Amino acid sequence: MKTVDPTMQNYFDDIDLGDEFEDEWTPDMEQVLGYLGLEGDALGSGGGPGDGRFTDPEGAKKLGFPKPIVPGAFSLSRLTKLVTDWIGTGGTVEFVDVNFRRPVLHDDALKVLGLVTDTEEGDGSGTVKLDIYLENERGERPLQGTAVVQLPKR
Amino acid sequence: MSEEPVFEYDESVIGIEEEVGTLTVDAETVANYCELMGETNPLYTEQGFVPPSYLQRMRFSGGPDPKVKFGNTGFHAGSRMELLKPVKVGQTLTGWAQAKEVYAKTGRSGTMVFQVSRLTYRDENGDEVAHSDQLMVRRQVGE
Repeated sequence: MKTVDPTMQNYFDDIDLGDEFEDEWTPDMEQVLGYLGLEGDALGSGGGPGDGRFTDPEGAKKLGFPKPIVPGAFSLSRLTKLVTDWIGTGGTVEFVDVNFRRPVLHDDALKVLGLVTDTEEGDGSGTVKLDIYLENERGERPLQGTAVVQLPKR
Repeated sequence: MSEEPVFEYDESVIGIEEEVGTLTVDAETVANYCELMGETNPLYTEQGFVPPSYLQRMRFSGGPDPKVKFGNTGFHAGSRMELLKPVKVGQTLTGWAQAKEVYAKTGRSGTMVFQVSRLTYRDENGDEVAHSDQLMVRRQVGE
């Protein structure tokens, strides 16, 4: 299993089916508040549904969650970042397609994982299909999906 | 024979695309976003490109709403983002939202009603730079 470093370029020629790569992420209250509070012309305020599910332990419990949960878009962004880290500066993302299967809780110790499932050589670059997912310490995969990227050839 | 699930929604808005705002991608906001995400890819921290995940965080106003009436709870079940062109800091993007479809499925855990919506990001020339499809689910929990 490889860790990802976006400054180290992966090339299509060096990729094999079954290659795996990973990162780690433990989303906490500070990060969630930071994500929801991001502001700017293009971002506005993330806010949330106002029922406390993202930031209030009591509000989350009323909704049946043992802890506040992490906004799905934040988890998706973290999973997308794994992909953009892996392709470095020379690759491009075609699409990221993810299912939200269960909530991510604050302080979950997550592995952010990618697996090469298919490759197709082209002119100057190659297409790589990836399985991507978050896995928590309970062995669950709250987010799971696929991505298709282009990697440069040497 | 199973009964057809009963749900209501406004069919008249399905397929209609509506402009939902114009937003400029400014350098400071992208820098703040990159810092929060722990971004280290030089494309985004030095070369002025915008991380694809940033587009997922952009907030346009709401689009056509089919006002699905079913169940007592809802959740975000899926997301698909297709990236057609790179986006750079300083660009102005216009969002176009569309309610694509509403349908029901019945399985072991009961009936769920799915709502698919699409947000298309267009640049200053009107060219599409990305699509974001979101799948929302409504269901009945308890009595």
